[in-house]
Amino acid sequence: MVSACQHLPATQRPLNSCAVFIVFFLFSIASVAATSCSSLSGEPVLWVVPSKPGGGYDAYSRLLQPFMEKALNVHIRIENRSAAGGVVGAMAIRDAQADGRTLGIINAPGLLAANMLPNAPAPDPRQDFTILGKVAEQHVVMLTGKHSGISDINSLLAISRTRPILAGIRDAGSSNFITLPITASLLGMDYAVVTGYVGSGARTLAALRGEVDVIFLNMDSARRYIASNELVPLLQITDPPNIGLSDESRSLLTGVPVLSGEQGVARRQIDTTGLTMEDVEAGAVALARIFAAGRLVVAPRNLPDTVSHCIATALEDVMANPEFLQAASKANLGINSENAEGARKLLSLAAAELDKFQPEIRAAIGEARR
Amino acid sequence: MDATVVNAALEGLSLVFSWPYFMYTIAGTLLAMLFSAVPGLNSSTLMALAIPLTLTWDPVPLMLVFGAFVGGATFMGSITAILFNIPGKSQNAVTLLDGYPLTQQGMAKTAIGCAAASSALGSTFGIFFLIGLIPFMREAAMLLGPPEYLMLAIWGLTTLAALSGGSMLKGLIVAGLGLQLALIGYDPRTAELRFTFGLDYLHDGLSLVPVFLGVFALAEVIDLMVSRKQTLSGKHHMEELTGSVWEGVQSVFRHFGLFLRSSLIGTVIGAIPGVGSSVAGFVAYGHARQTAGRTSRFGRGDIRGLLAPEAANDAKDGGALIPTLALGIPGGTGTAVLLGALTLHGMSPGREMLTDNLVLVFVLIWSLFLSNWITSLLGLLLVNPMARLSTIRTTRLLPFIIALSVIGCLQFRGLMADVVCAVLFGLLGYLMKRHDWPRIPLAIAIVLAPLFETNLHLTLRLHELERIVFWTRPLVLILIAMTLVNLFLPAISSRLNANRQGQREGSSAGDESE
Repeated sequence: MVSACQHLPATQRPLNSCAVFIVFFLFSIASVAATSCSSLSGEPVLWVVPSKPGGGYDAYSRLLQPFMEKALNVHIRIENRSAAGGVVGAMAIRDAQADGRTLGIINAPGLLAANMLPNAPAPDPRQDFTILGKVAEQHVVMLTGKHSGISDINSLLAISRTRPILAGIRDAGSSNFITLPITASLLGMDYAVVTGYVGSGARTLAALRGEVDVIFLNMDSARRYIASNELVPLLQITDPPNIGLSDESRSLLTGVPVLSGEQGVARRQIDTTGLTMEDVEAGAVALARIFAAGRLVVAPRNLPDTVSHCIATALEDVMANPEFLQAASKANLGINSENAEGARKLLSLAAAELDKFQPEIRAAIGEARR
Repeated sequence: MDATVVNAALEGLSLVFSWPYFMYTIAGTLLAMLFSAVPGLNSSTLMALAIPLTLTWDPVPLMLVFGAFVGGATFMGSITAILFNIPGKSQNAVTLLDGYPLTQQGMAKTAIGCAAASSALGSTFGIFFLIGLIPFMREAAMLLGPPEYLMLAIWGLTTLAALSGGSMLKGLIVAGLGLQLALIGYDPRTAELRFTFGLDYLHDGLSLVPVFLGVFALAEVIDLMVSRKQTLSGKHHMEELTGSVWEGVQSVFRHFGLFLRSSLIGTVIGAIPGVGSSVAGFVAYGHARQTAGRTSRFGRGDIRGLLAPEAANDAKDGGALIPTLALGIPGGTGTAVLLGALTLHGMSPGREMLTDNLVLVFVLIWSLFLSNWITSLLGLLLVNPMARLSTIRTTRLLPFIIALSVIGCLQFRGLMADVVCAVLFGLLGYLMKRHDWPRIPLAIAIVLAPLFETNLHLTLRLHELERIVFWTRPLVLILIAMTLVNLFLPAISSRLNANRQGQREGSSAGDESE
């Protein structure tokens, strides 16, 4: 811009206009910078994790922490607020001031299910948050303890013909309330539920002690128990090729049947369930779409656009950072990221699919609350 | 013991004492001591802060530092409990029951010496128990289920109610109040709000830090102000203080049986996932009191009441590593954060850790061991300056204690409301002390309530579904028996004593008349 004016003779240079334009341009840049990420500098940013330390959400958050600190040039303080299946942590994010100083990670499918609770206090991820991006998807696996006497999915289905299968799950905001009833309906399986096992560790112990027949875990939590032969994977609930699983996780799931697809167990159960092929495919697609909503990084609703854009861009950059991906790979944490817009679309799709299964999910919640 | 385990243990030990690795343990220990000197701060917070800073570290320094964090943090909370009646962490609440009275009697040096010795030796016990248990870790971690957790919570409550001094009925009432207070906030299963009366502050329930600081520390501050006691110990000069460090250290060996039993209690409870770090000390205290007989001065400065919980509190660190390393299931909050750190470094606790990474496991264990001893030895070296604080005029000391308590509240969540909560509980604690109502059952009930509530629900549900039979589980039956003993033994004992007293008086009156 300066050179554009310099070709003119000194007496003819519209110096004032050029100068004004340059000053205005520089001022605009400065203004944009001042009203976006720089507004976060100074005080630390609180990052709420809706689970106890040591679990999957905590691991992803602590993995992101140093990279986001560098990207945003702020100090991030992680706070664990676990209870009610992640609902309490989600509420903490929802109820914070929308100034960019409170962020967090949520279980989007779990919260969608929790919203079906009667008198639901759970935040609605579609309305109560500013979605900043998606970190990872949940690849859910059905597992049993190694001494349960259940060697594979066929033996589980054989048992289910004689008595209800007992599943151990977490609490209010657990996405198990989605997984269990839909899977059970696709497999023609009767079930009963025990809630109150907080954390993957508690559910694993329940399976190992034989208190429950099956549990559902995300693969990043289940990996170490499968690797040490404590838990036996019976069924992959969500379809692996679309999920960002680590290499080790993929190898551990070799030979474990999937619920959906041409070779899926659900198709083989059509004679038992009386469902049509279309119903089976619709159910499998629904599960895949519901869990595709995944683990979302969010802020309170009505976050100013400039701040939201800044944080979302920083998150997107971090997710594409080779160093971050390398650290995730080292920690055996699968990354399947989406930017803010993509995450919002996936969330809408998930909610639409979930609505179709409201009766089954409400029945599961009702059964659990007995 | 398996040769592999022995070789791994020796290799780990050599790494810990090699240069420059040795400095990692020293630095980690000093940092943990400084950090945990502030009430409410603990090793979990320190580890959480360190995770992003250590993401690029090699495994050996990582294990050294985190082991030092775990081992270095426990003892400092005991110092503030003994000297100022301020529990550094919730697990130190039981330390002050007899630790602070010893300070008030001018025996701070003895108290600190005893705490240092039982801490170091207790952690040694826990660690060697852990090492011996490595081949059986998995089985050990699965011994207890929801019924056992439930009965452990009930037994813990009745133990403290029955043995906290004064009327057992008062103890049970206070424990009930504690359980009621613990219900405030979100229902852990359904996220519905309970007893919050529309206050946002109560949504997450009452936090342990302000409650403990209020009920114990601020209550004592109020008591000191009202009583106008001139110094904490009643003495004005160091020379007037009785007891000695050596006397405190000797007490551990004088009561060695109790020390061993308390360390075992701490190790076992630490190994139970989800029970929490506070419970070990309380249970050990209850056991010590039950076995003390009529010579006890528990609650009035009985050295056994300090020795037992200190040994248990430090032994539990070794125990807590058992489920963490064997199954990847944390024994408490500290080991949960440790688990997160290990995961981010690509280490998988479980069978893989105990086979492919056994040397690293021992690096962690030895670092924990070393840091416990460093902490205790430094504590012994600093006994005189610390004991001197008990001779300083309360008019100068009280502002410091108040400031420490306020800092402890504020650093927790940065909420002024926590300070207000502490003040209110301080008033409650003072009134309870003034009218001879025990405070410990209130504290332990708030700590045990989540364990009680969750496992009550699980036990009832599993029993309903016929997956467990409550009445046929041996440990449950033992705990029921112990609970009944807690509830009825004091009444039976006092009835028998009254009868014996009556018989003696009757026979001596008969002798006189003859």
